[in-house]
Amino acid sequence: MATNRSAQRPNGAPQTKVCQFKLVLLGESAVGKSSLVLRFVKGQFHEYQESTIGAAFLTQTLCLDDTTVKFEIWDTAGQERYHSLAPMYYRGAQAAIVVYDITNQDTFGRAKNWVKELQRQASPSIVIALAGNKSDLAAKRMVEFEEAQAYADENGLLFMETSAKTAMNVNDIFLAIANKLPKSEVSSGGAGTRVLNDADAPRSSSCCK
Amino acid sequence: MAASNEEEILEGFLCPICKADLKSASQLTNHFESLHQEEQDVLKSLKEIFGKAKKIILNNDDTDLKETFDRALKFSSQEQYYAREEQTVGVSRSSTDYFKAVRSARLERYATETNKLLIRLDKLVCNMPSDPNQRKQHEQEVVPWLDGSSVKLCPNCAKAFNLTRRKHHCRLCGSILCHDCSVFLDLNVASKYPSAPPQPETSAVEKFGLRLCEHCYNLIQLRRQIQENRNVKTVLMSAYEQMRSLMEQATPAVEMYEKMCQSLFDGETIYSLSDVNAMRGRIGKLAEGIDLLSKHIASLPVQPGTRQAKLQNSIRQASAHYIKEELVSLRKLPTEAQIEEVRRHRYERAQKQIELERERIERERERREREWGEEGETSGGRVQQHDDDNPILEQMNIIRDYIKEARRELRFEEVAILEQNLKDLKKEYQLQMLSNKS
Repeated sequence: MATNRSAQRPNGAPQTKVCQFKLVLLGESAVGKSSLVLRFVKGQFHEYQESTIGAAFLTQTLCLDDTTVKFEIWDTAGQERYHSLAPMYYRGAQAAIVVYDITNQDTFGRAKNWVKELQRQASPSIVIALAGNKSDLAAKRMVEFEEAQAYADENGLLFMETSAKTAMNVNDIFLAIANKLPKSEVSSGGAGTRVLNDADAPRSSSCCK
Repeated sequence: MAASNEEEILEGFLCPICKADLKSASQLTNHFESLHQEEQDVLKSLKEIFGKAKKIILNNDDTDLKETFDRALKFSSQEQYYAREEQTVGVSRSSTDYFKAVRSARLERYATETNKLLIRLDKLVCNMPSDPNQRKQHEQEVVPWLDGSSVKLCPNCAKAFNLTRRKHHCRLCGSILCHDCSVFLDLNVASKYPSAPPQPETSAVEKFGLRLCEHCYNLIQLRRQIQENRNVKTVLMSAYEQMRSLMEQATPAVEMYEKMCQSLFDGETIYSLSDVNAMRGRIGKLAEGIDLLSKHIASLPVQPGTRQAKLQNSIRQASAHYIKEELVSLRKLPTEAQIEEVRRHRYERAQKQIELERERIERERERREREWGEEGETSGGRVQQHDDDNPILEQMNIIRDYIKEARRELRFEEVAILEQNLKDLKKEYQLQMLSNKS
């Protein structure tokens, strides 16, 4: 229906395909998930970013060559007590960014756990990106670039070291995800078709949980 | 002083024939008229020959045309006397071809000259060295400078050059001029004249500008004006673009409206009736805007019957058609009562389903408990939080706030996503409660 309408438009500009994707951010608390999103969506950085409660919701649109990619971003809280919420958000997500802090080895270990959990529980086609954040603090580095790169290669993850503070690689990592996501007609039906499908899905599957 | 040496340059009031030096102009005239009477005829004939040659050189047609115009002028002055008399159209001839020939030659000359200057300008501005000496050399490589040794006066204002009035060169044609007669072209602007991308590294020299003579400057400015005029948007165009952007907003709005409407008919609770009404209002406003703009376009002053008039009419018709087909023929909204009914049906169905699910989960849990009991484990429930600080409840409140915000800003796509999430959360919470009860 949507495509018919656009074809009928009188001498309109060539319409680009619009794809909508659900993207979730995961990672230990205080690694900079919210800062990454804030930088990507609003171009801002707050030195003292407040700790996220539950999960925050933001949207951002990226323009690729012939498609417009709309990200529906769920920025989850890193604190332990909210971990029970995470599955709700990575379920049905087409992309995930697992964030760790390059100055903290523990957060890298936690990131690996998140990747494992995603591989087990999330959609098998999910695009996972690993982000080593706070690359502006390279002087205090505890996680080597090569180590993380090797891990990412092993697990087929996108990998970049980012800095929400200096904006380094922030847009790039979202762009890399957008490029890797399949932009077939199925996923391009816009929010409408996808939301309806989702609404149908849990109804039938919830009984098996 | 008589001429003693032929190679010596003679000065003064000299007779052109006998080379005698007369003391004043009047004496020279007298001398010439009395002594060289017979030679005057020769001179006259010479003058005639020169005059003819000049005519040929300057294109004979020119004078021809001038005569025609002169006659025409005389005629029009006479016409005032005979204005009342009826006149038949006399013999006429078309000078259009001649005019075109003259014009195209003239335009071509200007165009080639301007193009030459632009090419030079491009060469000058591109990779212009920042060092003043190198810059001078670079400039002279591109444009050969006129040798100034024999130029005593500024060709433009005819003032003598001296210590304070220095000789300068036009950087585009290389001719000599004084400082007062030179015009400066800002280099930032200069880099924009050729259609090539602007040079970013002109910052070092930008404070100087480029010294030009008035002639070159005018040619360049004229070209720029033409270019600017070409890019100027007409009223019609800007109105049309505005209208198109409204249409582009309207199309997704209508899609959204259809979706919301369908959702209401299906008994979903994602959108309320007031939401959908707000959306309808927004589409109405867009339609109004498009209508106004297209009316404005159609009413722009124009000669009837021209292509412009046709275009304006077509735009008006197309937009009227668009509004009628796409924006006004919106689906009717259900009434509150209808919605209530559909929702009740749905609710009942949902209740039944929930009952079924509950029973299923009950059974599942009993089965699991039996298994755990065999393994001697206690049910280490995965959720142990209590109502007050249950993260799911917390998150539900967060989502509700988001929904309110999105609704206020008419971002209904987000509302749908968030409502869906809220539903998921509620379901999750119910499951949690059920498993906690055990």
